[in-house]
Amino acid sequence: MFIRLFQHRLSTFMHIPRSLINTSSLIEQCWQCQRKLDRNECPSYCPCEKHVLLPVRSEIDYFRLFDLSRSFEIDTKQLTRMFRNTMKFLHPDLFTNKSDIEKKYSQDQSALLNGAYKTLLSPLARAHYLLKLENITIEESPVQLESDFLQYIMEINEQLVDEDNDQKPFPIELAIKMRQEIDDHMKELSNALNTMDLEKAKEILARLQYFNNIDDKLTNLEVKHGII
Amino acid sequence: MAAYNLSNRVYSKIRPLISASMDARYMLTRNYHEKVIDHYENPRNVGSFDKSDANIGTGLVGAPACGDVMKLQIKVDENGKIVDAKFKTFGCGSAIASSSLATEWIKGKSVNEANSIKNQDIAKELCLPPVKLHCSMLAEDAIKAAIIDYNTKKNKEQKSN
Repeated sequence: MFIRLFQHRLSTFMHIPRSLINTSSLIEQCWQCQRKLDRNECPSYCPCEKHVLLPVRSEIDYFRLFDLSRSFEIDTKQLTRMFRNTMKFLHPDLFTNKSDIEKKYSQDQSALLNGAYKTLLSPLARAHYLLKLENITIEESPVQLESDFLQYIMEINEQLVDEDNDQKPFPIELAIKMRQEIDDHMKELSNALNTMDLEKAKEILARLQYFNNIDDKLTNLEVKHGII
Repeated sequence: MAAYNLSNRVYSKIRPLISASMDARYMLTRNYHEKVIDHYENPRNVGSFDKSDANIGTGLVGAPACGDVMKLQIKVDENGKIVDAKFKTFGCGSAIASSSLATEWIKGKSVNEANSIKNQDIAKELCLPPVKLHCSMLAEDAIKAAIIDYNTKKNKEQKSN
């Protein structure tokens, strides 16, 4: 507990990516070549030339799977590159003639990698995941937002229902305003997560969820109007 | 990508099989109870009252996990009976069904009776699956918020008299 707190402080003040100090070693032997491995360094397969698949270890967080530091700001190009590179060694199609244990590891590892990729690619899912790593979930401890905000969201939703008829042009002003709101909230979310202000991050994430739903509706409207 | 390099002729042969399995999956994942579908397709009491009216209580609640918003309003007569109720919900089918059912139930009840409606009752009536229980909780919260709003208005009125 205190160590975790200390790590928070350290990473907050010294701006050290948390993953660098948070790697408690996970040493184990490769089940085939018996080489000693730190699973934080090789989360999916053994670095030997055979690329022996290793069992899934739940202690390894999604960021480590892609060799990224645990942070809200990530390079999504690197994420996609790492996803494809790693999948080349894990995909179940490569293991159809292999032993049952290897088939199982391949299925487990590729399912994990797919889920991890989806989670980290979406900024909202990534923020939820970062909070989950700190044992905070919005489902278990809901944020009650002030009624002015809910009123605002309600009015925009009502407006969107009105806009959804064939005679009306696409509400460009509203769309620009909403996307601006999302951008501003994303910046705030990023700041809050970088400074480990988790309560603040949770609150912004709750607001973003409402804007995200509105954004989905705007996207549907854009499709309907042939804009995208 | 080898799997997609099928000729059109072969593909047209196997196409019905694919859609059949898709339909089966659709049926498995979309098993809402008919009561939810009924309320979703024919929602009862949709609309708004003037929220500045002294006899109207407005409850506005949201679910941050899914971004649903729900507004539930009650119209109360001088005997403390709920004579009418209206709702507006932007959210999933279960949230719409829960709030539609809630307005049906509270109509004709006294404020105190309405306050004792539990989300479990709503969930049971609509046969909501566990992942959708929070929608019924939202409806319960909306009723309670509307009643609190009404009571605060009445208290203010009494003080000013």
